Amino acid sequence: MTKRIALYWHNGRSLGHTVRSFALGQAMLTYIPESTVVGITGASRYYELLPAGMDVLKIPSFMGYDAEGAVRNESILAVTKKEFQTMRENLIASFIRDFRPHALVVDYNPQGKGGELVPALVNSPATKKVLGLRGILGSFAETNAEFFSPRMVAFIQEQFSAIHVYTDPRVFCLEDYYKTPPAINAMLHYTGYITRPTVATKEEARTLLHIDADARIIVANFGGGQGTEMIWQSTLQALSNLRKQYDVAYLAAGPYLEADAYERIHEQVAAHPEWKWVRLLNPLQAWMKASDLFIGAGGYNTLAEIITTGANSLIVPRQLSEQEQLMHAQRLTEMKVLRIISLDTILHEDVTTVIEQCLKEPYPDATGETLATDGAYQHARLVEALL
Amino acid sequence: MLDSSKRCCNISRKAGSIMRNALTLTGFGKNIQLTRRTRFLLYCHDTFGLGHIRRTLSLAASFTSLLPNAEVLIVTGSPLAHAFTLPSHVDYIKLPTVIKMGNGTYRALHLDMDFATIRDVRATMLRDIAAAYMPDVFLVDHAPQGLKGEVLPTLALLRDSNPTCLRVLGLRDIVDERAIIRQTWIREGIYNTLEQNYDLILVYGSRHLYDIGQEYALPPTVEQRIRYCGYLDRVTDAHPGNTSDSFPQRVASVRSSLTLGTEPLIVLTVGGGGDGFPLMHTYLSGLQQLPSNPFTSVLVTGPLMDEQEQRDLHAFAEVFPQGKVRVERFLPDPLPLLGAADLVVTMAGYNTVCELLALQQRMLLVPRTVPRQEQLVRASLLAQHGLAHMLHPDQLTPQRLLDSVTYALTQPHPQAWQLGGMDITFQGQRIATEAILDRLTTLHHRQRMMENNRVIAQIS
Repeated sequence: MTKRIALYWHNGRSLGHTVRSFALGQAMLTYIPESTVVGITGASRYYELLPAGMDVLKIPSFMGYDAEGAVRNESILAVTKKEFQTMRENLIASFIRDFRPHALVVDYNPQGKGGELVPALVNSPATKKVLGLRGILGSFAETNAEFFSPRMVAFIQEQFSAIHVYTDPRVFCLEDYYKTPPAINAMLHYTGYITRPTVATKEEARTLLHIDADARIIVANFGGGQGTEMIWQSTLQALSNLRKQYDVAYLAAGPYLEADAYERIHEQVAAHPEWKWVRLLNPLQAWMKASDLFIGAGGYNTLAEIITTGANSLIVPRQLSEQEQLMHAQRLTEMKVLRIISLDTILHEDVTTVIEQCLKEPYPDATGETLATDGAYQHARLVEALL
Repeated sequence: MLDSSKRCCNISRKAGSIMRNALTLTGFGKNIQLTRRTRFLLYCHDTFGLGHIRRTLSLAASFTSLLPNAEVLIVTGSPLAHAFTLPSHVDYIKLPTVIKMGNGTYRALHLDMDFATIRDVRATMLRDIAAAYMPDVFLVDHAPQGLKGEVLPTLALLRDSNPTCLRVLGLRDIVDERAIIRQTWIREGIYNTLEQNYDLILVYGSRHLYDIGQEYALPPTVEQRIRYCGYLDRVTDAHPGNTSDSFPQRVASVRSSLTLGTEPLIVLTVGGGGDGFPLMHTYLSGLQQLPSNPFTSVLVTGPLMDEQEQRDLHAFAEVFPQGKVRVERFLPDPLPLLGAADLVVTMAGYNTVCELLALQQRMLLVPRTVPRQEQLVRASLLAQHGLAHMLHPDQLTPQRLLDSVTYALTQPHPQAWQLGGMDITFQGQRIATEAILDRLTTLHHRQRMMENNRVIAQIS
């Protein structure tokens, strides 16, 4: 019998939820026999990574991008908040009612953005619901208030069959850090990190990407890239000072770096034949694996891929409104998985010596030695067991 | 005929007058201003290829750029909507994808739902969107009833609960062969749908080339709602860099990057590419049989071509000397390459033909004939008027294709006087916008009179 599975993620500012949801979709299509998977989201970017065989219901977007590609913090449509909420809520509810999924996997927000998922959840009693959490959610106080208030706990208990935590408990244990009640603790399953498959060795990665086996390579990418021009300027200054210590630097701006900033850096890069300036490096995990040093931001997916690839990495946790990136990167620094440099430091100081140290004393490649990175598979296995 | 800037001024003036109409009513002390943006809801069912979504996005860009304070919500089934840059003030909803099979039937692409169920799901969602969004204009692309009737509940809803919404049908120059259309439209009740549900029918083509009213036997009451817009401008519209000043440089840059000598450049393009493999493979087979390598060839497969077929074409290309045959998957702006070619070999899809006619480019058309004959009709008409060369797909062999290529290369490009003689113009988006605005102005005027009467009645 076909297993119908729906995945919900609201579109936020970053690419992280979309990339993770596609990885989960791919794994469920692969490991759950006769499964059919559909995503429900307002995200409008990065569908290049949509797994073959997965469909998407795209609802109106919370976040827009202007003609230059810069993020706008408002809906594209000038409708009232109520009209907008109604449109999204009705679309989701009517689709779930007719699609009748066997399982609904909800990413991050138990009630969906602004509670838009509640009617669909409440009116689909035959559907098994799974809440997926990335592990570190945010600061202690904010997360407890948002996720683990008595009202939300009661809702989660009533609506969800399980909570899948996409991390390794040795890195972060939800119940140890936050004030989770026993009822929630009983629902937790740690899957390991959600990552995308990649090549096993640096040599294979270099063969795949047609990179000289002996070249000294730096790869840099700050996630989606929005607002990163100053970080790039500081990084490029350091790379310019260190030009004899590497052969090529592959620099991926990210799809959301503003067009004017992209062009300014493009002009700067023209004077440096050893710098390759592109929008995307795909598959990024293979580029990380091929690198001698990876410089990046501290989003969940990047950190998960550092763990998977064992890349020698220097990370700039750059999330301003939430603490998740910093907390996660600090924890991995304590475990000697990567090095970090603060946003303040890279914006205001010369980081040449930091990057030089990373190049001279790389962390050993400890790929897969300790931490679980087969989260997508484990998640699929757990969902299948629920069905 | 008005030049572009005058047309723009006229459009802006009319749009401004709609707003002034609303403000007039505040004189009565009643809050009945049009304070929100003009909302366009565009429906594009898209079950095969890229043509419908490209056309829809192009029109959306025109509405929001020419009309102050307009926004567009597109509802589409296209799995490739994300691949295009969205114009400002345009968002989209993607419904679960349905694809058209070779025999003209439909099925859900990925979901485990029978067709009737998924059609009903999509119909309900579309109706719910219209109910929540309350558009001022509802523009249906191509299929008057939507995919197997999925737009009918929305049309009924708008008629009953949003009667001031302008309901518009947009048709490309040719929908299908006339006898097929006449039979199908009688059988499916489409004449009734047109009569009862549409205020305006936009045709993105030339009446001189193909008179839809006559060919499809539209009753006079429907025929009088038709507005021929001319072909869509696919050249300046496709890329802001394609101005008359810069385009020759972009074309020259393409030729230079291909390191062409004196040999002709042949470009093959097959739209989305879902059924383009046989044409490309036949071309390479023909090329292989030639004793020398007389051409440089670029094949653009389209993103919908099967991956194995794409791999096969890449492998086949390697048989030829380096640089002689290149295979590209997708070009966001193919215009400079099309402009650089000495001959373009293609199927006869609407968008590509628009582009080639606008560029006055030589074209050899090998039209698709199933499940619709629209491309065959288009290719035959253009060939008949000396604007294109055609090879019927039943005659597609490596030898014949290469003979046709060689012959077409000796023939002149389409000339401006030939296009003018057929009244083939390329301002479709602008004229469509103007036509919608004309009707909106009338509707708002009618609404204003009704409101005036109501307010006066209250005062007295």
